[in-house]
Amino acid sequence: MDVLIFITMSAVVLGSLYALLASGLSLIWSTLGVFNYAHGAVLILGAYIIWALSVRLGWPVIVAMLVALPLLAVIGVFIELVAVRPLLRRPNGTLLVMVSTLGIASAIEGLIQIFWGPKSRQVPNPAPIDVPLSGFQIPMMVFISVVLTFLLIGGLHALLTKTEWGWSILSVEQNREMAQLVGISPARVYATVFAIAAVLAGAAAIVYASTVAITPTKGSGPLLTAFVVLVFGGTASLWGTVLGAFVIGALEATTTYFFGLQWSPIVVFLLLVLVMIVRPEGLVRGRKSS
Amino acid sequence: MESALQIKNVSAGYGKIAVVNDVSLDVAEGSSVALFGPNGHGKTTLLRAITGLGRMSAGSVVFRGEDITGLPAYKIAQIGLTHVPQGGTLFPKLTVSENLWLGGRVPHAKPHRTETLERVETLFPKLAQRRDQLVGTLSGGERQMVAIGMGLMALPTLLILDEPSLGLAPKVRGEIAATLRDIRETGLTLLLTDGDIDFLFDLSDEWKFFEEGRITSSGSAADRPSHEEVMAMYIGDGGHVPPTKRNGE
Repeated sequence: MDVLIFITMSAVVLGSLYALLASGLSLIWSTLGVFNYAHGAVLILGAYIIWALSVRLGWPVIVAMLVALPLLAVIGVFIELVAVRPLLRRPNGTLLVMVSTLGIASAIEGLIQIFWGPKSRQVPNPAPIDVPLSGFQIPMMVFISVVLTFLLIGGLHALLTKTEWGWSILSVEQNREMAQLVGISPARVYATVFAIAAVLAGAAAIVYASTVAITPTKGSGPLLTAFVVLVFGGTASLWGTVLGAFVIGALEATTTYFFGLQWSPIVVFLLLVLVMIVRPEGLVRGRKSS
Repeated sequence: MESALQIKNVSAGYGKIAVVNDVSLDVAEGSSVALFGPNGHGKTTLLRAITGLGRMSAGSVVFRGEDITGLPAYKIAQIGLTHVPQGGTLFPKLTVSENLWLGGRVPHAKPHRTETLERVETLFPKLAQRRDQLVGTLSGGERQMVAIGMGLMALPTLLILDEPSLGLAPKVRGEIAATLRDIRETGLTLLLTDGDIDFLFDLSDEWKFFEEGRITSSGSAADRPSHEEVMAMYIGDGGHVPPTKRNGE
């Protein structure tokens, strides 16, 4: 029973991390048709900003988080402006954006190292209490992680499907030319999408930093897993991504518990290969249309 | 008559190949101009260049006194020049009403959206029935109705329709023609192309024959070419067309 609780807790936290990270990637992918390889660096930058504001400046960690999120939104827009917008419409655009976002990732990691050094840092726990649950002590962060994940992704889903603002994002995704003909500026939508994804990465940073000590390059591991989540859950719907994230989280938690941490990427990528062979469209298919 | 759209010496194409060659065209306020000619000769390229979807290599476009040459497509859409492109390309994973609603998001149409939507649904009762259906699941005719409906939602000053009857069953074609005729009564300016000459002439009061990237003859409703003459024009034997109708030759 102890084992089950332990694995579940770990699975929930990992699942939340991957869901938040992958939903941003998924939004960018479905709207612009490119991957943002700087997404992991944005995650780790978010964690460092929270750390710097709370530890270096002594702000309450909650305030640090609330300040970090809008800051990350601005950084997201900046990445779109410098690394995506000038290259996307060129022949070979996808490849160019891959290289430029990888470049941004290295630059961010380098800057973090210059400003804050290569040492590992610990972001303070915003809710350092345990919640008793049928005889077990569950860290509050486990609940915070999962609530944050469902609030943010649920909110994003509602925005996309229920508001006109959301439709305008979906319209660019579905038919860029027609979107322009109804007066929507794709460039503005692209910047918005990058801002949203960066904020989600910031939320992921809150979850991530509660589980590990951060170093400048610690963003690449979760990013890689987030890519697996995209393939696994499919990019057709946000809920597919969330489902995929929690399945992968559970798989990692189980593997790590029984075989050790070093086995979890191996098992995850074996699953990836299997999914690509058996069900290339992912777990969840989108709204059907011809 | 005041002109709604003045196209002066426009050339456009893909890469270095000019598909549209030095075309000038005037659409008077409240008139309806039909553009016809063989497929693949640049009509769509011309229309796309006008509304900013395609690039033009030379020339200028003035819309109601405002030079819109080189403006991005979304800005042109916002000032009342609405383009309904060929093939009813829409937002397939949004519902009919979401598509229509987005059609009316330009600033001048936004405050009137509820009334306009009612009007569009009266013009196309089928769309009211299909309101919550994803557009991607509609038939070609229904999709064309949504496309035209979206164009109307924008409360355009000038509506460009590229092949509105393409792929439609004759009955649906008749319905759409009737609807467009009603809309014409409201004084809407139209620039349209279509492969169905009867459909086209029925909806226009001026015609331009477009071939090999240029307008080679034109006229008004009164001197429409007959079916035989149109046939001859398409084949490229201009002999049957009275010389007075020919431009630049």
